[in-house]
Amino acid sequence: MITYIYLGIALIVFASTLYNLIFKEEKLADQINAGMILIPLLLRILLIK
Amino acid sequence: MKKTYMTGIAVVLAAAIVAGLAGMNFYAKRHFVEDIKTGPNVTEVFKLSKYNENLAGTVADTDVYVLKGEKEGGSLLLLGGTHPSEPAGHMAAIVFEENVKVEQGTVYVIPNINNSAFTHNDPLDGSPQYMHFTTKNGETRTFHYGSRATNPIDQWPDPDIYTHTSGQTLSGSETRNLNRCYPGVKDGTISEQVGYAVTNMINTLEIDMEIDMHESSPEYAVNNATVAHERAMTIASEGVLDLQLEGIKMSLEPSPVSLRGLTHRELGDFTNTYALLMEVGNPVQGRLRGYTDEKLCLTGEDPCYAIAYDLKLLYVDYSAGNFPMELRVGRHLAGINAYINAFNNNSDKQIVVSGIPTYDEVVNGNLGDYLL
Repeated sequence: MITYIYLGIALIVFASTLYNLIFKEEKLADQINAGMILIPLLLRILLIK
Repeated sequence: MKKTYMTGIAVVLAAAIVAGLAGMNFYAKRHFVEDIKTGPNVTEVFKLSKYNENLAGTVADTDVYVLKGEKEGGSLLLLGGTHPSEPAGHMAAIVFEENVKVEQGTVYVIPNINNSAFTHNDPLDGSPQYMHFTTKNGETRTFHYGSRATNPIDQWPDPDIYTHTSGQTLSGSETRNLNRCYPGVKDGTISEQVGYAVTNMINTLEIDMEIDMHESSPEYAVNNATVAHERAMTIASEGVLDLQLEGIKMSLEPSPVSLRGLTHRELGDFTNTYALLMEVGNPVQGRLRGYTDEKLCLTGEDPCYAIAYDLKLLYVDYSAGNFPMELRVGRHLAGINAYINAFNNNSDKQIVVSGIPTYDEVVNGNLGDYLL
């Protein structure tokens, strides 16, 4: 059960990071930072890594 | 559209490409099926879930190879792959299963006891993902090089502190270390479920002796050693003497009573088996190593360890400047043979096997020569 809760948290963080990347961040460097954060989150949500 | 939206979308696309490339690699590793062949003398193969139904259908439901002799006798369980970053135990179990014939008694071989841990690598270690061996007939066979711990995809999250069933506390990541999870919990974490299945299997089948095959960093004190439960000390000491007489250095370590969760402690306490664990030096997992790749895994050749040996920092003889897979597997196979002989000298039951490649044969040849 706790695994699904953690996956849910990862999904929320992924979605909010993606929203910030596209709609909030003004600097390219910050957008790239956010993009790098998305990669491991996506791989965990998809149960790949 | 705002300029930042455009760059944002471009970054997302770039991240998706990187995630896709990395993801394909990780996905292939996770789903790679090892090329383990059933030896000609294997009499039965069953799934570990036979001894804990909770494992059925999971990645941890590994194969158990049975080599049963024509005559009744003693029984032995060989565990390889408790820590898949220590591949000699895994390969020794495979060589045993594919080559050996049991004349009397029964030998159970589990080459991938922590199967989940084979499906990933330890982060930041630069470990190889696979090992390749060329057989006598020129075929290349591929095996996993894995992680010390269960894949977090199968067991997540780690607690801050791992509390073993005995009450012992360890760092949280040790909850995925199978060799801290014995005697196991039937409906616990997937690592604990595997531990329970092994304990239950030994109790149900009344297995007389168990050998867990490991490797350790050359700078670690418990090296080229056998760790034995107190009930197994007679067998272990006799086996160690035999190995020493053959010129194979092996020290004998008592299983610490207060270090819980390990095979040599819990299987000795919670079953009637004689519980043994063998360690052999392995530079590829050591902290002093340099560039890490498949070659290092197979040859153990590392200039950093040569320097460490000159500085007298190692617990193994690294004078040759290498520690090849053949040497490491040869030691495990010689150990199995020695402990079977010692068991036979100390028991009414007998285990008689033929076809174990000798230490000299393995060390002076190629491991692939002993793969089908």
